[in-house]
Amino acid sequence: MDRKESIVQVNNLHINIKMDEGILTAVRGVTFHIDRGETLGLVGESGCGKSLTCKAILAINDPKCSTSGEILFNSDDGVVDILRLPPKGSEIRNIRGKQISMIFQEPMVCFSPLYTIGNQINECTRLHITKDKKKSREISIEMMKKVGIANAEKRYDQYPHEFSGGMLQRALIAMALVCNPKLLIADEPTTALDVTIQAQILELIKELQKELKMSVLFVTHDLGTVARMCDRVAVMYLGKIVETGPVEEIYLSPKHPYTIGLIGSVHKIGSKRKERLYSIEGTVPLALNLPAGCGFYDRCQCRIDGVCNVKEPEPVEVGPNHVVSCHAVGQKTGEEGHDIE
Amino acid sequence: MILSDYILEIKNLYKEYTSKNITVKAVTDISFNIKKGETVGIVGESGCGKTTLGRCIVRGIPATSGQVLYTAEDGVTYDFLNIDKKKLKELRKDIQMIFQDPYSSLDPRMTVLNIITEPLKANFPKMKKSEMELRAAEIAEKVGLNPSYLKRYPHAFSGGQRQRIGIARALIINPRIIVCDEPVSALDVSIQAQVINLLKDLQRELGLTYIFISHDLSVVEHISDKVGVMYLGKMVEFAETEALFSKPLHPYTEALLSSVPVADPTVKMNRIPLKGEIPNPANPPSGCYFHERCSYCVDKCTKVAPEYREIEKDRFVACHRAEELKLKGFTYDEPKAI
Repeated sequence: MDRKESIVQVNNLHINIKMDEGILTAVRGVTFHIDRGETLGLVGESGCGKSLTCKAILAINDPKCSTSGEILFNSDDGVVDILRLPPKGSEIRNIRGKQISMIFQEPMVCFSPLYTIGNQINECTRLHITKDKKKSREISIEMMKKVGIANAEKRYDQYPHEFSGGMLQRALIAMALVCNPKLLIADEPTTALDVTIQAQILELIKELQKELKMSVLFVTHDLGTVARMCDRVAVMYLGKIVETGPVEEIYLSPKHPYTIGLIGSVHKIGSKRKERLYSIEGTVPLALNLPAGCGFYDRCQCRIDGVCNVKEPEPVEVGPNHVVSCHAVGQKTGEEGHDIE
Repeated sequence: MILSDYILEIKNLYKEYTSKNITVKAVTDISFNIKKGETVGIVGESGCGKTTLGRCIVRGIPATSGQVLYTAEDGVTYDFLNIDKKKLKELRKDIQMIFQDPYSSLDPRMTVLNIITEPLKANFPKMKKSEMELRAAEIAEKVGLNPSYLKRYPHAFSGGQRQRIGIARALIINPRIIVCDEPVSALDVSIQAQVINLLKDLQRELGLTYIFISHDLSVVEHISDKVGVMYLGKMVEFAETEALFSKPLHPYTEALLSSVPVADPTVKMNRIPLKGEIPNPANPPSGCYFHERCSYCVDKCTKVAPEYREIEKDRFVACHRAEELKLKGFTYDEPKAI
């Protein structure tokens, strides 16, 4: 690993899914790294490969996905490449849930309705920390208290249907954090929740991150939460990272036309109410048998015919840590970003 | 008869569900008025009765009591909840609905053409098939669907396109009022913007009146002229959009506004964290429903339910301390030169 402080380094990750219609290239050469204690936001629309990337880090993708590339993880026993580990072997099991853990999207479907909440949180403690039932119960209750579940002793023996959505999400966070992971993957942790509960959960993740010194990979399509939570942002489109950079850079001077469109299409409360929102025309194409060239070509306003539809753009550094993959940006570096209005 | 200023007046609307001797008040005493061509946004957390309110207004479900006074095109005002079947059939086409989930609100076994023309078949059974197809093609064009795709089935369309089909279905019989129940929350950000722009364009072109139900405050702020905030089945505040967002009068509105994530990392907001969760509507708290979570709660709030009153012109609020509290909202600054 070239960066010593990185907790995880993903290099040139490809994920293909075989389908009846052909090969779906869901993730096409994703490269990023997360430093210790840092929060990286992974932003993109549905179907751009965000969730597959996350699951690849835990090696829990469906067996029919063929994955290639490198995921270097700085584990307790030195650097390992997660993709080279057998997905059912003891090494990955030692990492999964203990050193890397994940908060899933919908709290309502993540818990088994047949077991108590305590039982399900306990699974992790009993596997990784202690075999002692009493002790693991204590640890789990401790964690439930930490994430703000009132009356944790009583709640421990309740079933998921007795919890509300916000409380279940807290229980899910407790389950993910009970073994003090080094890396937390939060895959749209608040999309299913109301704004007020969302604010509580985000605050909670931030606090716990500081306390436990975790790195967080925060996956979402909500640009508002990213602005609030992340240090750096990676914008994904059609299986590729099109732009990465520090959060202020991305919001204040986005360079890639897709990032500009995404940020422009969110209405900001308090700004003068414009008559129309900026919108990106068209829809995300299905990643089946993609033509050569830039994936955003069809929807792009700054496309250069004869260049963008022929060759895939290479990543270009436009500022400190700010990397963009776009021909149009590559040609006119030094100029200010594209005009959104 | 005096001609009404308003196209729709909702008066003391109640909806209760009873099961096993437990009564849940889903909608409690809601009153507000809508002028022609206006958009009224309704916001609130899940379970606060937004959708129930919308469905009661279109008479999709029967309200327990209350009135929905609708002023038809000829200037006559009818109580929409209390008219006979024949008149209802005539008026129903004036008030249409767009549903939340574009994936489950379209029948997968009907072609898009059949879906869009179904309201015509129900309301004008004598209309010729060729004319229906012509109208469907026209409306498809208007909402941005390629008319040559009308013979296809819904599965062939993406989420944004499906929502356009839902909009076309609501529009084909020339309604005057559309109740939009979370029309964009199931869509991606860039598609949301397309659908919102479409709704705005159609409103300008056809003079439509919208009731826009959503939990997304930034979308509501963008599209609405007036906004109503609901909490546990009650309307707690109703005002012009800018007034409500810049100077909220109800503590719940303030808390809602402060929890909106703003897509700008330079904005540091002073957050008012709301403690706890929305109470069980089957067993609501005493006094003001919000008092357990309110940071401005005084003794009176725990005992007496506040009255929903007009504090200024077009400004309604249900809070005992509305006059004395100085609550924080968003600041509206002049548009910055970019």
